[in-house]
Amino acid sequence: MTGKRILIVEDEIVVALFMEDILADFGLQVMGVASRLEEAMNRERDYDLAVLDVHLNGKNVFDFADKLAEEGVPFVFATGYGERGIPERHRGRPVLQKPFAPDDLKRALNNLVAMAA
Amino acid sequence: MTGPSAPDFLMGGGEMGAAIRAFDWASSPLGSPESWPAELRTCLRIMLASRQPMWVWWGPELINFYNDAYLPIIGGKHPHALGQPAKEVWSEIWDQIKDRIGAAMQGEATYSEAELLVMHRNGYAEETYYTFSFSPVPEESGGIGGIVCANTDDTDRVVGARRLALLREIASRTWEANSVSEVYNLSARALGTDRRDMPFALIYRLSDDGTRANLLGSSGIEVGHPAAPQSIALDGASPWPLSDVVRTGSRRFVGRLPEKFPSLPMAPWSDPPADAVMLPLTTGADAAPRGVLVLAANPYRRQNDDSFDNFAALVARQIASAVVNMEALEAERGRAKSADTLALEIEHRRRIERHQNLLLDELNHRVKNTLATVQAMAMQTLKGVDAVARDTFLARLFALSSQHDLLTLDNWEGASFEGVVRRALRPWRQEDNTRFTVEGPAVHLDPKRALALGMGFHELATNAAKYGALSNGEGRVRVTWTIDPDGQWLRLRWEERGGPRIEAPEKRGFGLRLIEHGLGRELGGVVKLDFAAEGFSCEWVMKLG
Repeated sequence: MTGKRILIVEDEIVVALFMEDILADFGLQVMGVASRLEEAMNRERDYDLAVLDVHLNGKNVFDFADKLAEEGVPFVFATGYGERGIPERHRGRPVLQKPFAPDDLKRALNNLVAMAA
Repeated sequence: MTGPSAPDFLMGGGEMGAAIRAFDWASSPLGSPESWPAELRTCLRIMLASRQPMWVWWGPELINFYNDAYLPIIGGKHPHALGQPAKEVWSEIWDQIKDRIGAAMQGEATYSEAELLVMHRNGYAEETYYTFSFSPVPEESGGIGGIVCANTDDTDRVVGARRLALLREIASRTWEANSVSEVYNLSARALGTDRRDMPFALIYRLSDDGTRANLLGSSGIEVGHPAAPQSIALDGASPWPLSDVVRTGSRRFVGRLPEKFPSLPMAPWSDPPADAVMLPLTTGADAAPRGVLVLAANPYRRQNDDSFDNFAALVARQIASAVVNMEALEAERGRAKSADTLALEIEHRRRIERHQNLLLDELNHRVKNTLATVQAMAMQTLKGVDAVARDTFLARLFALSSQHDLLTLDNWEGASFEGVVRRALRPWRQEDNTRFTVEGPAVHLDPKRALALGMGFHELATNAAKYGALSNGEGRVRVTWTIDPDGQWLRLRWEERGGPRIEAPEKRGFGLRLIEHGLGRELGGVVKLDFAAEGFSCEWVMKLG
């Protein structure tokens, strides 16, 4: 997973900063933080992985998740809702319950990369 | 009969002309026709030639003459009525018309339209309607010699219009009905608008099991009168043999009513009804009767005339259709209503649930994001400072978060006691589940207590992992709880065995303080900690409800 480029989609700035740190600790290259859906949708694809907060300032992230799924970009959901808030079409994807231990995130990302490889 | 001496003015005139010519006038108050005044002669010529029913009453005695067209009107009184004083001929209506006769004899003409006259012309009282004019005939001498009257029989027209109006009345009133029993009731009220045809009427509805007929509507008679029982057992004796009608589906006549019911109401006539017809309330021969209509017949109706029977059949049909239509409407409404109500209730419940779920999702989202934010801040703050402190903090944070998950699962309605215990111990149970015993009856905790207890167990387990039974490889933790027989108190015991020997700490840390004081207060109970050398134990007594 080292060296992979990752996008953080997260509207809580403190959480985003924390994730930047731990993802960097994992050896990933954080390409940026999108805090709004439009930002994520319009962003040029300069990443290999993504961590998606489900709720972004009153909108949900699933349009973007659909786009990533279409493009074959592996991603993990991070949400306060748990699996319950995930629509049928995205069930089965890794979901991290906020707050999560850094190790859980690391494990989830490792699995993603391993499966994509 | 036609004598050669008959005067010219009496020639022609059909049957009545002949009768007048043959009459022995000499012995009457008028004397022989040759002596009759010119005015009377003229009147008689006009009368006999007319196709209009007419009569002439002449002289102070008002001696009666009438023409052929009048024969049906005078009926059985003919031929005796000829040459008789009008007062005797029409004794039954004399009181009714005498004032107008008196006025006419004073020179005042009157005109009466469709007036009800109960005549006894055929051996029985008969309801009739006539339009007639009393025209005084002045004499040259100055006085009034007599009266000429032209009549129109309006009986058929009046009775026909009335019956038609009643059928319309039933239709329009039952249109307003909202239930089958209202159809019966409103039909009865409609029947009450035509008491001349039906002095009283009863509408019985068959009970669902078909054993009884219950009076659902009546007019012209008090409910409970011997002739209007509220309920009739079909297999029992009754003045109204309704069961015949129900069984055969065809009408029955009941005669001699005054003998069967001594005190029958007489209104609107001066005699009680003599007979009645009972008709099944059914829309067709193949349809089961819904009930039975009892119509007491007008005692003054024309005899040997089946128009009343036909009318009664129409009335029964009209009411039966209203009943059947309402039954269909009620059935449909029942279906539609229950489906509508159900759909509304479901929709309403869904909306509430959706709203509640939205709120709960929002709540969970905020709680979790806040916890995530706190976690992020703590991690940043404690970075490189104190790994142990950081891990302890994170464990507590995750314990809190985990208990929230438990509440989320149950939509914040609370959580089971056992669920709270198991979730709090999960981090340690994941390593070795066999070291735990969790036992107790089902107890529901509200969210506040669930969270407090969850945190308490987290601290107990953390404590055990640091100093107690979970700090070595073989210690065990036993969590048991019971409810007092009165259901008021819950006793919980946390018992550690097999750990290293312990002694009471000199200073109690956050965890123990949280358990001992915080939870005691929060849960409204008493907490007792026991630092026995062979193992720590803790007992909570907590009030339920």
